[in-house]
Amino acid sequence: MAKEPEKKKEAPPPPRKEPVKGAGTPVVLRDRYQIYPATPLFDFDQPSATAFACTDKRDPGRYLLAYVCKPELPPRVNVLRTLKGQQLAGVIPLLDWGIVEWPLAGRQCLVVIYARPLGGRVMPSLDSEIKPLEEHELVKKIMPQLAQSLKELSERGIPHRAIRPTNLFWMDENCEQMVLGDCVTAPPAYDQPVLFESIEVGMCLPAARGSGSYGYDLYALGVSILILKLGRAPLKGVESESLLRGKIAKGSYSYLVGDERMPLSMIELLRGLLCDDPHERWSVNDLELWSNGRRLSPLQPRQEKRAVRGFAFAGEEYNTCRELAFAMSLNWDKAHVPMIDGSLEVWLRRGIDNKELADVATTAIKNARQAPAADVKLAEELLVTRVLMLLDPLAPIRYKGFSALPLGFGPALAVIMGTKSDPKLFAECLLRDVPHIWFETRPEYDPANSQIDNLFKDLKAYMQQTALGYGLERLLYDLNEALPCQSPLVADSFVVEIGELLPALEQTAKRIDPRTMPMDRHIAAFIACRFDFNVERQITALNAGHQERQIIGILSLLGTVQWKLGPESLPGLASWMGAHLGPVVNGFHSRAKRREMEKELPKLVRAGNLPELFSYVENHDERRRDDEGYLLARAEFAASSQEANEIETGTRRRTDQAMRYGHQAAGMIAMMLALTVISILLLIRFL
Amino acid sequence: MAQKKQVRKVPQGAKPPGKLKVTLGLLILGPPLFFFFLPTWVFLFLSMLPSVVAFVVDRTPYRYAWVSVAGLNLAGVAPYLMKLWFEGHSMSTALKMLSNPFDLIVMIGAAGLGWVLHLSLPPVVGAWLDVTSQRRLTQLRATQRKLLDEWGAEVAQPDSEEAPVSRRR
Repeated sequence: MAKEPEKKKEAPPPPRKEPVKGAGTPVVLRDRYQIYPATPLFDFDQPSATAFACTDKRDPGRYLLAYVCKPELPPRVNVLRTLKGQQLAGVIPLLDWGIVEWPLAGRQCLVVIYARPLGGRVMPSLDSEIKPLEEHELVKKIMPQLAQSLKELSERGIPHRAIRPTNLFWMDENCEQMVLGDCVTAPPAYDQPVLFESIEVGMCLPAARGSGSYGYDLYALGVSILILKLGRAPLKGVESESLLRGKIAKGSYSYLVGDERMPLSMIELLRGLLCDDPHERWSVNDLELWSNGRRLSPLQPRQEKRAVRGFAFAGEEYNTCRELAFAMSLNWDKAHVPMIDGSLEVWLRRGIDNKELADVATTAIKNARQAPAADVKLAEELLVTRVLMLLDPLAPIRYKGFSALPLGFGPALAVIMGTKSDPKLFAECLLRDVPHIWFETRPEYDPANSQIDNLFKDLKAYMQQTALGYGLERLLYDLNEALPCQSPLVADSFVVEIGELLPALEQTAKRIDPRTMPMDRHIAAFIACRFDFNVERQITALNAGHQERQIIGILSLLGTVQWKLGPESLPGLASWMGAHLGPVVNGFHSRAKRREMEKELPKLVRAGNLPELFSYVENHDERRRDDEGYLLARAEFAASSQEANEIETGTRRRTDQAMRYGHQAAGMIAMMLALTVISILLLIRFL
Repeated sequence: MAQKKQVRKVPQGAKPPGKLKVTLGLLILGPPLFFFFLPTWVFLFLSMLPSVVAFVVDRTPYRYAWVSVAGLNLAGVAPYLMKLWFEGHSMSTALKMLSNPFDLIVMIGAAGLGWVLHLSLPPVVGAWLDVTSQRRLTQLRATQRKLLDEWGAEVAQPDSEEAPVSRRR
């Protein structure tokens, strides 16, 4: 997990009277925003993005902030698009974003431009201490602002997922207006420490948390308010696993607040926000009502059923199913032992006294025991997965070292692909239907789960195919609807919509070596996923064994996209495509046809119309004529070869023939002469 | 198993009526005719002996030599045959002509020309066949060059060396 940048453990410096202006040669975004690589703003750095000074050419007096994102992490593009240019109360204004050639990275990077918070960061780092905010300040000033910000975000369907004191800023120099900081430069909750995440989300890999619900934002807000009230983070130095264990054992509120004394109004707020049951946790409305003065009695936590005797596992005793499940997930290799030997079943039946759970677990264990010897290992792994899900239904999908919520699979895969990590566990998880087991073990029916379950079935089918247009790349775009195309051919152009793909390829065509194919696994998967038109035939052609058919497939696929979405002319891409049409032209047997095509193709390439280019090279009538002509020509050549061979090698036969014909001719002539003589003599006699 | 060949049974002693008539006709007319034309038969047999010899000595499978020899032999014999028929059809006339050396030279010489014709025509026909074959060969080579120009070298490859056209689709 990405760590917050190291900061000095001391109170933040007073806000500067004169904010830092940019220096050095700027990088310009959209001919408007000047970003200064030589002027980093360390005070505003994010774990996944570096801050630099920025100015607006149209308003030079305005102080701006540019976040340069890490290229390997997928930004939240749909959120970027929604927030761009919006003035949301309590949220740092996102002015613009785009791709620039970033000299410090030596490549193109995504840059997000924000208005610079003049009051600086509320808390420099989680290790630092700040002056605790007073109750009345929190209740009267801060909470209404933050409640409003969450309301604004929820109205737009955007969970923030990066609420923590180090991502809260004072927008004004007088530190009156607190705003939520950046939430777009990394996948949802990717940079959130486990402290700020509810138990089930904290169990997930950072990249696999998913955008989730507003409940997760409210939980993070609760922890942030607690820290602002205390002026320091509780449980400093406690490891993530210990934090989760503590939260599970004592409940988030009790564990985080500990022995600290809280005002009554804050107790109600924090108990509501830090409630571990997602269904009982406060909603944005509850928070707004509280901010407006509604006061209720604080929520009382519901304790999980404790066992009459603990269950010994990996050297420790556990008294609740959730604690045990978490411990087993951390000791995956040993977890199957108490399941197979029956001790877990006995504990569930007698210790926890939950016969239903014991019965379901027993069935799963029996099924695993009946597995063939060759599949024992696999059966045990799936058994552990299933039993952990039964023991802790709120927990995420856990399989060996992989742990994700259903909606976190997309960001997780994006990070795996972006960082070029090993996708083995991810793929194994899908191929072994682990998400389906998770949906099977839900205690309550949820129609939305069926939809997601079906989606996972489709994804499994896609992943089992290794051809272009399928595989992990297809999953990547199916699971991340706003993820830009990751193909190196268009990576610089940040192609999110299918309509942006061809213009991006047109730009690429101007600078790329034409020998490179204008198609790869990412582009094929991107089109197959994002193009709202049936392109199965074209995808099939892409994977044909014959090079000529593959090129036709590429041309057909790109041509279909141009035909449906434009633009009308793509001379660069057509030229790029034309450079690969050699095998297609050579696919025609007729040399005359080839010469004609070589003459005609440059004209079509200049026109830049891929559908026309495709119709020209893939003319079925011409193909049929060519094939038929070729077959006839082959037959004619073979016949003439045979005849010529016979002539060349048939001297003896010809001699025999000549002898026979000569003798026949001699006989004929002799007989004709005889008849002629007789006829003349008879005529002489009778005339 | 081979089926028994169905044979139409002809009653014993019965003969086809046409054949009977011919046999009867020959038995009745044959002897008078033979004796009436006896000078002709003797003359033809002796004057056409070179043709008989040609038939006997020709060992080729199709035996065309006697046709050539007999044709010209007959052409040489024909004037004397006319003389026999129209100037006195008698055995003495026939024998007189057969004993005349000049007449014999004409008749046998004609048969000799038949041999010459028989032996000289095959080389001529052979030469003619060679010429036409060479012309045909030139035509075929020209056609092949044209096919190669139009369809490329693969048109000359045997079927086994290239995938069928249908497989490329």
